[in-house]
Amino acid sequence: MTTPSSTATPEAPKQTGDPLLRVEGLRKYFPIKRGIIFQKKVGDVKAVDGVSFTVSSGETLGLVGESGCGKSTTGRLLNRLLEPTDGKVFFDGKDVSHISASDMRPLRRDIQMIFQDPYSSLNPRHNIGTIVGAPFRIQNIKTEQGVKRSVQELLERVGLNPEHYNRYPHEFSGGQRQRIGIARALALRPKMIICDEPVSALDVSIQAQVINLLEDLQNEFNLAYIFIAHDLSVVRHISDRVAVMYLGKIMELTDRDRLYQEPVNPYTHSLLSAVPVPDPHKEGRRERIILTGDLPSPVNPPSGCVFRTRCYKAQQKCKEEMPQLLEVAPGHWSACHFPEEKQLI
Amino acid sequence: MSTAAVATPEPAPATSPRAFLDVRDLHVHFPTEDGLVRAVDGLSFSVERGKTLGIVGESGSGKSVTSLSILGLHKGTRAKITGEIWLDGVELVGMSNEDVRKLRGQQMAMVFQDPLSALHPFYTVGDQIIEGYRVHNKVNKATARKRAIEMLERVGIPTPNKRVDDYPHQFSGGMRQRAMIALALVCNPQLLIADEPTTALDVTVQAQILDLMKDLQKEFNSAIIIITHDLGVVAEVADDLVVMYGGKCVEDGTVEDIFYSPRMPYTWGLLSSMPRLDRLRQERLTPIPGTPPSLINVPSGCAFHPRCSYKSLVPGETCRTEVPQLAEIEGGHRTRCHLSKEDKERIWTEEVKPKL
Repeated sequence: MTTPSSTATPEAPKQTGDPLLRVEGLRKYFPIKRGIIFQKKVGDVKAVDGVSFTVSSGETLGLVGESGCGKSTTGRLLNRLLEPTDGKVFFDGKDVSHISASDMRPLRRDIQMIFQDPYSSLNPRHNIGTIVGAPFRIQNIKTEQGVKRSVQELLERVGLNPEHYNRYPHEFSGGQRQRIGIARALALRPKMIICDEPVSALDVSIQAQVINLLEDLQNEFNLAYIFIAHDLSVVRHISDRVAVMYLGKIMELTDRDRLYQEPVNPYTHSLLSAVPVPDPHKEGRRERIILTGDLPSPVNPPSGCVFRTRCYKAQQKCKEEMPQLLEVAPGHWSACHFPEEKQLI
Repeated sequence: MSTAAVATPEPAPATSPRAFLDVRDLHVHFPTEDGLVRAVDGLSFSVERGKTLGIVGESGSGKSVTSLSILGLHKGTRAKITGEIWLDGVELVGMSNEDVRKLRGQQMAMVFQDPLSALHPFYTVGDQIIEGYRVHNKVNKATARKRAIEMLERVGIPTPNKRVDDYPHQFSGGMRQRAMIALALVCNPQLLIADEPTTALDVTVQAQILDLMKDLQKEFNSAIIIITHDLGVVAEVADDLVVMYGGKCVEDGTVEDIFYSPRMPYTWGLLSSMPRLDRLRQERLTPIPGTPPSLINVPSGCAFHPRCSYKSLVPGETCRTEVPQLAEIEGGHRTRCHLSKEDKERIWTEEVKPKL
């Protein structure tokens, strides 16, 4: 993926018309500066480095990877909480990659976000009514029965008591707070919600409640989700297609069942084999690929394939040539010179 | 259950404890303005050397408080601790802070969840390991430093003689957790308590750390208590399991007992609410309804009854009025539940297991 123009965009398999979101060669470099008065750029953190994918309405795309792989940055670039360095983001056929903040505002009705930490993403000084009603006020939308009624309906929809309208965030548990965040994201009937680790701060029993809620809402409102998470089992449960990221690049992108049953990229293999399964007998028998070392620094990514420093199949070619994200089977994209053939699990 | 006896029948017998670590009827209560927080309410378990005990439960079930009270870290606070903790024949609850301090680090050590906040940002990693070693061993700095480098090498830090002078912020998350383990193991403790040791780490690094812990256990023959909410992690490392809910143990037994024949609705709920990679994808997850209880206002009777879907099978209002005893099912596998043995077996094999 040296030049963004040469990269084909991996399309969703069952495509009907234009996808809701199309991302082409998206890049985000954060400059590293030295000096106090005369600042000089000395390098870049290549957080996202040429990422392309599409999302159709009603579909869930999972983004997985280790911390520091750029999955959250990608999410923030999509709804323009960050300005992309290069590349294009098309939402509903419109190029939104560099439009101004005032042009972006009407689009925010369609793209909403759910954050990871239900404690810091709600203003502690605002009551629930104010928090969930904020989108209506900001967008200056008058609803038929008034904002209060709409907010109460939303609260009921996400499984909270509408009488809690006047309560404050500290009066709720983690799972309930995450429901408040979901109600807020849902307020303007968006077309797409970016979920950045929405369940990773919750207990197992509560996780399942929130995942089920997200699935129900998707069916009801035909929402598209970008589901960013590091938990591979949760991602498998909720996603239709999954993109595996490593050091700012997509390593493999395909539909869920293929990715978990016949992954071809060695990185996907090692990730999946590292997940402990709650079954002591199987756990003892499983063949496990233990990666050595840590994620390399995105300031100085390895030459050629970014994964080669930890890859068990790395050869000379991996050092010299960067593998392209190629379609190895219909709808199955992978970036690797030496794809894995054996099946998993 | 011949080697690692989790089974300590209630009430505890008056004979001298045989297990390496033996916790009996432990209560940890915190008086607060809002009322008494019963963080741990009558917990008993034991661990032998060379064995690993997993403690599983949701946040607020009292698992971390248990580990801190074993280490005596509640001493000098307002916490009210009753019960007995025997470590290698010595009772810890009644011991003075000074005496526990001599054991801490030497006999028992802890690996905390968040290595960035558990390591001191102002001292180098080496200094912190050296300090821990010199508190318990009369050696000079050079020897202690050699020992620190040796430990860092043992836990797999590359170029340890250079990294020993690094500050914690110069380490990556996985390396910090390795350094924490080196720090905990520097005096060869016989008991290692790991409180969510891999929760903050990525799966690939988690696999490395769990492997390291298993290797080190083989090498030093230490007893390990691993506290986690991740059932996958305990399936990999633990020999015995304690499932906690609302400050009490609700089920304990060997890993096989709990994973292949659990007999308690809460454990069923935990097992069926998590998506699993090793099974076919379910259309829908089965969550446990409701939320974990507040420890100030623990529900009467069985703490789990407001969330339990099987309480109607128990005649009358027993679940609401009467606290169930931790009763043995067979061979050391115990549950705290009013359901009859036949019902438990039937529900697990007919209703819960097929859906997993």
